[in-house]
Amino acid sequence: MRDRWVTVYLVLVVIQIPLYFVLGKYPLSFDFATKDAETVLRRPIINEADRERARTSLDEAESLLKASGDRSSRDARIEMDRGILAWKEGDSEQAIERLEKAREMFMEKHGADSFHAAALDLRVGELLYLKRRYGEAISRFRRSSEPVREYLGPRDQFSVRMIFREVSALVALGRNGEAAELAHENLALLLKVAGEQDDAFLQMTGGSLNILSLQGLIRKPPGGAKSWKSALTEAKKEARDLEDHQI
Amino acid sequence: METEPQNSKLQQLKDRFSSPVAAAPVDLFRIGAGLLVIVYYIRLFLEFPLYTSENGILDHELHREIFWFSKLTLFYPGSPAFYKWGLLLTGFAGALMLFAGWRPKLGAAVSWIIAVSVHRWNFAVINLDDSSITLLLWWCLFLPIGNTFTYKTFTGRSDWRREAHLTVDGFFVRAYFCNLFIYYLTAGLTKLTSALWREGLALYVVLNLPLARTKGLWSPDHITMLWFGNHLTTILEPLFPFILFLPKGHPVKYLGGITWFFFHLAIPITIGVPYANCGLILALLLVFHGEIGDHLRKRAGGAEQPRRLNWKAPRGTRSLIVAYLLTLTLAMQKNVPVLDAVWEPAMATLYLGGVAQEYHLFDWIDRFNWTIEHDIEVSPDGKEPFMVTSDEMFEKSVRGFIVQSYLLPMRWMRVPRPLTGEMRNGILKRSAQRFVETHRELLGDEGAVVVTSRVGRLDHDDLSGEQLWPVNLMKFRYRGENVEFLHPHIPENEAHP
Repeated sequence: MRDRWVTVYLVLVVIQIPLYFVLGKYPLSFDFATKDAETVLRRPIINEADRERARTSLDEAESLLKASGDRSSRDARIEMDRGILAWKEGDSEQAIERLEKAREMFMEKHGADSFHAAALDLRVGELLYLKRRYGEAISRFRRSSEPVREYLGPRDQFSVRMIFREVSALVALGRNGEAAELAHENLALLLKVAGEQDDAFLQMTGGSLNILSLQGLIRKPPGGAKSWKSALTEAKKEARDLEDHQI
Repeated sequence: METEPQNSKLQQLKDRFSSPVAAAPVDLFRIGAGLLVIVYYIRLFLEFPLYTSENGILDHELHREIFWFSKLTLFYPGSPAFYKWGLLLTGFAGALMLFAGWRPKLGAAVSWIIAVSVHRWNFAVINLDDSSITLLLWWCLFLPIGNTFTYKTFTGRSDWRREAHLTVDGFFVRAYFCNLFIYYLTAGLTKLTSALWREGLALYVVLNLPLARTKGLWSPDHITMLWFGNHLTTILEPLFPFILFLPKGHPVKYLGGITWFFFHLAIPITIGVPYANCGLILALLLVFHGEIGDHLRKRAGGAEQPRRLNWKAPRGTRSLIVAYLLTLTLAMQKNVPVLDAVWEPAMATLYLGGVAQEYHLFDWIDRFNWTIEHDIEVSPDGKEPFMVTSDEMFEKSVRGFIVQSYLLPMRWMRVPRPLTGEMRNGILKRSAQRFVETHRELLGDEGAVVVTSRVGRLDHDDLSGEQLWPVNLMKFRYRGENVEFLHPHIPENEAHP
């Protein structure tokens, strides 16, 4: 008998495989499909083929979810990805609509204080800012910044980014006093997370900070930089250099 | 003609690998492992209400949906408590058999199967301690144990002096060394990928995490001292397995053994993770098998020559263990260029075999450097509010910290992203419910509880935890054992996925 132990063990291992195939069919396929779509959506620029790939993957994820009878917040994730896809396709209205729907789905599944819902609210605020709908953007930033900061922490790059989106929106509306107050408290954090931000954000934010700085409402750019734009670009470069050095 | 020398070299290697080792140290290892597993099962008994029970902090139904691969286990949702207790007691009995040397392999097998089942059932809070117990039991299935120092020896039915002269096939002892080699190299080298370890701050941060026993005892004034400790760890850990190559009685081997012992003693004293570290201290019995065997033979006296036992490994076990070691090596290749693609399938294979191991120890400190403290204010209706300590709601242990990790933006186990919301709500609800149920006298009939936390990350920007930020973690009202959440708003009919 003892000479059959290994055979018995291997049989026990092997018979688990079809069971795991059945158990993992939906969750694994869903994860693969959404990850595939999100890999494409994370690229700064996507072409038609990419868009088609993302759309197909999200359709597949959605049908898997329906087939499995899943009632979790996974459906909100698909809706969120569809919103991002719409944004990348240039359909900002549809993007906002879908992200808003995803936010409601998160609130329904996780509750009114859902972090995911608050984070999506800020993302919608960011899109509204980019569409120059500053007033609406500010109300979203005001509504959802606190829960996001509470969850991720004030030093997190996403929290800091959203603060400076609000600063820029306030500057665009000429509410420079409020903008300066908000910026003043968080300038050091902005310089720290500059390495994790895209150039477009740094340029826009730098422009707003230049206005506040020229009016003497906030301090001058650090390190003798000519402007806040160049100070932020330099901070990003330094962060990247440090990263490369560490690697 | 040309293959002959190669064959003979391979044969030489096989012979060398299988050259006999003293049987007594192997059984001393078995006794130590048995004792450790007994203590481990006692801990599982004590933790039963918190984790294994369905009324504990873990929502097992939700977890089985999130960690779908953990469904194949002897535990199942709705199984009665006596069934779960019965399983744990059976595992405990297996550990006793291993310790006593009565049908030790059967005991190890039973104990191993039940330990694996517990780990799958409580998957969300499993850590190195648990996988180390699985590993010890796994190796006890293969090592030539049960030949010496059994219950027969201690009841006088077998003479230890005779046993001290026995030797056994050393193949599995050396295969175990290969496992140690993979363990230390992975644990040691992967630390170098962490910025905090390279900066010399990781040890300071680890010692100040909520999971550490010495949390709060270290201030930035100790950083210089701990900087040395930090770098000593990164140097010593990958070097430990090399003492396996040193000949018997070599002074450097003794020095290495002493360092190994104190290194693994210091971790449970300062941080925790006692089972993993005690298991590695036990491994020294095998590392020094030659020295211990000689010593015992000398103590036993007599002019008897070492006598090799006619123990033969069951058919296929050698191949199985070689396949296991190769798979384990591949499973440790996470973040290694090119080989990164194989770690997940290899880990899945180990998981199917009930021997999933993770040796990336504390290289995750840059991601998991979160600290959390709670103020719990209880306001019974009509009475003065009062504070209770955080330990009353969240157990002060590694598992307790892991539970709290799901309340933070860090995931101990990889919970798919949007489901972190369900996971967080589940932990909050069950922690509140359990707190109310276990503190009836203290809380009175009706009232409110507010938990305010201070959360933060310990790193070079905040070494002393000065920048922790306040979080309104939860607020609820209780009436008897009923809990009504006021914050966060949790959907009443929250559906399981």
